[in-house]
Amino acid sequence: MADIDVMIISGLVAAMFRLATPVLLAAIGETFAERSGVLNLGLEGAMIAGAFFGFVGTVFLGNTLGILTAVVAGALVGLLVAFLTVQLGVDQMVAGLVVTLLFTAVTSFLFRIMFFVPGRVQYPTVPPMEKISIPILENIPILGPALFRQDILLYFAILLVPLSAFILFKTKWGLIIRSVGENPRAADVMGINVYLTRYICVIISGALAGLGGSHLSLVDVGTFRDGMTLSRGFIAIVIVIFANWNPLNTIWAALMFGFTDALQLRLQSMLVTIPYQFFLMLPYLVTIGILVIASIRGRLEVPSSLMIHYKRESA
Amino acid sequence: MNRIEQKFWRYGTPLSIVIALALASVLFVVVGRDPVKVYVSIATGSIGTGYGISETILDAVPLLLISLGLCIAYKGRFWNIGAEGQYVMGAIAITPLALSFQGLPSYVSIPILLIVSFLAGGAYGAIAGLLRARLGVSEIITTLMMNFIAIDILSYLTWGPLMGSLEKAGVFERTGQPMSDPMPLTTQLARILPQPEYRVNVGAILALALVAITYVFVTRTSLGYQIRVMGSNPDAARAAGMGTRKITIMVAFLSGGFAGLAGAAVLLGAAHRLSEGFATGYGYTAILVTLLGKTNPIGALLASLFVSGLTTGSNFMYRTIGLPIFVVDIIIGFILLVMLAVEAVSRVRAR
Repeated sequence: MADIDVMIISGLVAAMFRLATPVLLAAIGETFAERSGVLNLGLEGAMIAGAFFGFVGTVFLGNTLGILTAVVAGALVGLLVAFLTVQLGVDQMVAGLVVTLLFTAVTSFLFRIMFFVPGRVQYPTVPPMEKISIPILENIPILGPALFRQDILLYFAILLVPLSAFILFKTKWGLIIRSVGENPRAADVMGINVYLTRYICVIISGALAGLGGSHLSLVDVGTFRDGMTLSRGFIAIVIVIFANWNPLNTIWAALMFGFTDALQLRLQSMLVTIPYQFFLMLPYLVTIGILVIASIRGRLEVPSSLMIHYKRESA
Repeated sequence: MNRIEQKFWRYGTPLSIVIALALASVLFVVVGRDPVKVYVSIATGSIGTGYGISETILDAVPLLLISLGLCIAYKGRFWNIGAEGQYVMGAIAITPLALSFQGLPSYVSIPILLIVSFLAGGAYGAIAGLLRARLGVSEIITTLMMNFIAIDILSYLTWGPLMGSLEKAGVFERTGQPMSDPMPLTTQLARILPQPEYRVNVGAILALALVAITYVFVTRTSLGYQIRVMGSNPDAARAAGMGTRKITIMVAFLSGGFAGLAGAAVLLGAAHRLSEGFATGYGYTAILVTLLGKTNPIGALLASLFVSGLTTGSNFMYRTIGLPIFVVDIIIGFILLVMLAVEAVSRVRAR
């Protein structure tokens, strides 16, 4: 095989992992929220908040604190969703949509206020996050540079897959989360604080979505753009369904999305005879396809109390 | 609950608006603007002049049309968030048709175009309805993803088959985006007022008539009743032998159809040329309008005027005070958050 082919394939695999990272992080977080019985449709809002505030934090405080800012921003969006849905019992669909639309506007608004100087067209940028090479492993052909010469968020996302599966299925805390999502009344009788558990899980989902959003602005692009998440928060929700609410399966669906995204970017430049718009729509078509497959396949283990508000005082 | 409390919660919406405007004021102060000046400027720009009022009504028409469809959808708990794509599809479908209608009288061409736009938007929406009814696929995701697909198709068409003759010759508008050839004069919606700067057209009258029709449809017809039951209690709907699958597809079609019709109203009423920039976000704003109007057609009428007033006024405010027009979505977002919270609290109080 010619060296050039190896480079192309290696580049494609690397891009697949990089583009999968934001949706993977958000999907793992959403798994926690949904396992506890809350559909966090504000995930997209948390992601765009993470993308923006991660960028702001990096500009003013540097890389490490920038990432932290993104996590805190996402967590606060999660807190807002939790307050509306868990505390007040607002319809989870409505609350999530409103929060998402609100933060899409808030980020675009603040971006202009903070960074637009009259007469200057250039967008502010930050240097891309530095890559961390893992010795020896990075020299494996094709997979080496793709997997072991990447940014820290990507490593964290991949480590989080088995870790969160372990927490959900092998620890007492995971049992508490799942019981709250399956039968909150019974969990309450057992002395579990249903509201607190749900609050924590929704905040986790917001924080991880915020982290995923910061990957978009800090690693993939190096700046913020209006609505740059392009519905990846909703794609993450599809990944959770496809993964049957099991973190271990989220990585496959996330990689499938990452692969499509990486592929369409390359096809655009390789097959110039086909209008590029048809490649642009590929990730969205694939997402619908993934959802249809998950729905046809059936055997979905939807958490029993998902989207049902738990009213304590009516016990 | 005593009478004073009852009164308090009944006026929840105006109260929410006041609280939300106060919250937004805090934001304006933080970014160094005088909130009073901001609000006065928005009001001046929207209802302070005849032109402002005309633009407010013009801009309310697509919001209202889309929102009427979403009222039907959300009453049946069909979460269509794909109006943006359905709106685009309505406009795409009629562009080549209208261009071929050169010379046909208006009373023939316009009704055909309106019906075709409804069918096109409806068919695009019905795909999501079909997937939900037959396979249980979540319509939130499918409708949203289909927005992106529709906009990509729009981009392809305006850069390709529908590109206007000027652009083909290399003459582009300021935006650098290619546009279709202009709609023939006979297919353009007639303006109501003689002054050339007042762009408000018969689309507004059509929208008003549809408010009444939608209201009657939702509250007085058997299908409207079935949609409401399906939304409030799907198990009861099934137990009563209602064909919930059929109703779901019907609801998806109708809500998509209204969005498609909005596409026609904008294309034939104001834009006159199809371009990549045709999708300006009416489909997303209409979601907020629908929630603001509490999925009631008359509520949608009031909410669409309120929101388009905010938008028109904010365009003016941007030129005078310089705050980005995203303040509109922020203000509406705040109002909805407060409204949802007030409603939830009053629900608890009522029990």
